[in-house]
Amino acid sequence: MVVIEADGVKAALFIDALVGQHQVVIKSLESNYRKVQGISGATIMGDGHVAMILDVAALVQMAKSALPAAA
Amino acid sequence: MVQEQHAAKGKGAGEEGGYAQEYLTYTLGPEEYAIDILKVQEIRGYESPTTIANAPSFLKGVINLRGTIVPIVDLRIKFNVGKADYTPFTVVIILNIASRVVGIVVDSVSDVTMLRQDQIRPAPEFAATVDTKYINGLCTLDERMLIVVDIERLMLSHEMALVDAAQNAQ
Repeated sequence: MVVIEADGVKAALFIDALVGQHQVVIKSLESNYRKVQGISGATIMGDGHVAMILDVAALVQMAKSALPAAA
Repeated sequence: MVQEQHAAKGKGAGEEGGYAQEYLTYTLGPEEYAIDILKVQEIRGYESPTTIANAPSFLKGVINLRGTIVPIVDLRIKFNVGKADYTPFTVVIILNIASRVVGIVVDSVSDVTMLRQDQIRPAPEFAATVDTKYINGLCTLDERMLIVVDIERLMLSHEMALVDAAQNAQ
């Protein structure tokens, strides 16, 4: 579980595994595909694989709007 | 540049029946399709892509094509034809459409054929695997029947969900 803070709100993400920490160059998904909710872009890892970059603030927003009664 | 190529080809092969164009043919299940070769960037083997959350099942994900992130669509899943298994012989056609790069997975790539406009007959109005609005026509070549697909219109269509609705409206 990864605890994050976005827009001054704390949230936790359930994940399968932490792989590591990298400095990456963000590439746009929109140039050849389209916007994906919760994903801000993609990057190419050292081994040539593509990794998605999560838009944490949007994820928190999505979770909030999914639970309107809790607020 | 594309236009120049078109013009050159038109001059070279326009003797009878008018304007001829080269088409790449590929198979999906029992059917053979032809697409404009000028839309094809390259043909490569299948490598397993990175999946995208919430994407439709025919969108296999994205691959890294020499530094460009390219979405991969499996037309066999999209049109419910053939078996969508991935072998070392599975091929991906990389298309260049409206300055976007998109890959499509097909059963096999057959060949490149020259077709004249008068060889392409209008497609009958019936519900085929591919909606007839994306079919330019049918063409018989020896014993084979080719379905000439307007791949640009198909890939940019709303049902493919490859482009944003806003861009689609343009």
